[in-house]
Amino acid sequence: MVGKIEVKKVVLDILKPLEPSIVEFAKGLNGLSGSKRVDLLVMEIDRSTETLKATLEGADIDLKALTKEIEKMGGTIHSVDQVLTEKD
Amino acid sequence: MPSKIKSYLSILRAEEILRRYWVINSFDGILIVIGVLLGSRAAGVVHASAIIHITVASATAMFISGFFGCYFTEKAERKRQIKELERAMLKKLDKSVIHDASTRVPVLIALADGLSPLVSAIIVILPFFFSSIIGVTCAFYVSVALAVALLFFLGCFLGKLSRISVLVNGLRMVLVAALMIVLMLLLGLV
Repeated sequence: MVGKIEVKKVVLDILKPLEPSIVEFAKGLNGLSGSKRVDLLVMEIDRSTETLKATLEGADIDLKALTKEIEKMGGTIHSVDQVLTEKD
Repeated sequence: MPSKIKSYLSILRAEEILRRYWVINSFDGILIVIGVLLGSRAAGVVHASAIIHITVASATAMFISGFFGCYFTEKAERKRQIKELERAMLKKLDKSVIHDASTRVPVLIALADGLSPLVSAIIVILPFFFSSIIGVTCAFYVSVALAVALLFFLGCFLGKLSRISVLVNGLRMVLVAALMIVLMLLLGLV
């Protein structure tokens, strides 16, 4: 029997408005269930937007909830650059 | 301030605007009440209820004018801001917290704009509510003193914000009130 496959890590390229700040953004992402650690790195900054490299680690990251949260904070996912999964 | 409101203000960088509207309109409200008080006295209005009625009516008009004037202006500004942001993001932000903030913040700013002169005016005329005990003349002087004190505190607040002398800034505000009184005297209004 195949065990449950869990998403342990994702690396995303995100475009977001300058506000909410990356601190608020990180807290929002860290508030999701299954997300243990959030690492945001500003790659590029524009007049009203910024591009982030977001690394999320956790027990089982819910990608749907993650996308919803990012959109709620005004951001958009440009690309999913890395995914790490594990099987029970 | 509740954290949600704080977060909305921070998202739109509107804390400064809120503060600015509050100070400007409190200042307006206080000066108008000083004008009403001096004018009423010069015109021989001796009934506390008349002064209360005139002031509350003026303050209510300031509330309505401040609230709606500011609401429509801020709403238009926020719409422009969100449209610019949507253009930069290449997507609609309807379901985002930024959209929520842009609908709620104009109401908050408009409330600050409308309530500040109303609150200041009511504080200044408070002594007239006790005129049956202290007398109308005493209420008049206490009201003017209250108005001057409020202006002074408003100046101090601005001084603290701009990190310049709190005392000098407080006195500067009081000086503006003195200037207004001199002008009214010169025009023969008091």
